[in-house]
Amino acid sequence: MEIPRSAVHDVMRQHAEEQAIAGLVETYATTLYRVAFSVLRNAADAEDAVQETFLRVLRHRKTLSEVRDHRVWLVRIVWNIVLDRKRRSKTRPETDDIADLARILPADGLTAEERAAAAQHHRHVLACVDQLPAKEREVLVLSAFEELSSVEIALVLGITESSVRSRLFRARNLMSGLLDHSRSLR
Amino acid sequence: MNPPHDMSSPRGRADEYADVERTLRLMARVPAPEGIESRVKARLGEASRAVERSGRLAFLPVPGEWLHSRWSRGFAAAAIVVIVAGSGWAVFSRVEPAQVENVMPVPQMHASGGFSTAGAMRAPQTLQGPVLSRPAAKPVKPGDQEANGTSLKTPKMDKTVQDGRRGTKKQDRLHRGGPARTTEHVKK
Repeated sequence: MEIPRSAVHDVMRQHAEEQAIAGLVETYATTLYRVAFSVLRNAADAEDAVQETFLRVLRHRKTLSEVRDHRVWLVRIVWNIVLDRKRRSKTRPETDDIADLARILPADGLTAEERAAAAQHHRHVLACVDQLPAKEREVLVLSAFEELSSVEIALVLGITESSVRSRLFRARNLMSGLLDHSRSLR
Repeated sequence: MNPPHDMSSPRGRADEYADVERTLRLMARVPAPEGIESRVKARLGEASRAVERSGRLAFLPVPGEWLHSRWSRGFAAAAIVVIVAGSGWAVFSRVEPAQVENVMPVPQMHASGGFSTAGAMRAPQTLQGPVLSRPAAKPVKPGDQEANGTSLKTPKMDKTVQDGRRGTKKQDRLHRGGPARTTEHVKK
């Protein structure tokens, strides 16, 4: 019995696509997890978002060869997923977030009390970040990633590079004002 | 303990923002949980095997994203058009034109106009009086009338009767049609 050539070609192509996706997982899973965690601030949710990202890649694996920059493309996908999840889980209690924050702090000779105080401080800063307008907040969060340049941030958000810079400038000013205001209230 | 920042100076603002940047970088450098790559790969393998098992259903939209596919959107649009057109045709085919009647409509009498009853009220008959039954007239033969000396003509009433005075017995008898007494009988 002769196997048709097209069937062999399909199997080979499918195998190649799976190999390519596996390579993407190896290379970018950690980066995507960080991006997801910076928005969701929950380990389980962030990992779930990474898995959903690669499931979407699997669905659109036929267009994988057309993608020029896989890193930006994947960050954009996970960014949209986490923003959508963040919108849907507005009512979720933030106790898990605080626990996760204390867990990720570097344990370089800090006592338990110092760790708790540092976690409290970071929580306060993040609460101020959450008060920023969405456009400024998104640029500020993405700018913290060293592996993303301003051009790549612009590609992820779908805006121009000059918009990224102006939004970042506004975000810094607003953050200073918010922190100043909160300090005066204490 | 760290000295408080002087927020009035640009240096203080820079220090303040450095705090923010430190926090954000801490979040951005969070270590990924161990084995995340293998877990993602395992889930991808399950998903691709599920697609192979249900290969004949591969063209169907993925749950949660079904409206993103062009095929599903086209199908949904066609279904909406068919439903709207079908319901419109169903309504149109059942509506019949109003029939023109040959009868002139009678204007209705309202309390404010038209004929009135002039306050008359119908009183129902609650008590029924005695019913008078007419005596059946006997058939009279023509021969009998002549034998009796009477005719069908009504007898002329006497002048006395007409005047209201009482007549004599003879006149009464004659009037009733009875046998007249002769003078001979009186003489007896």
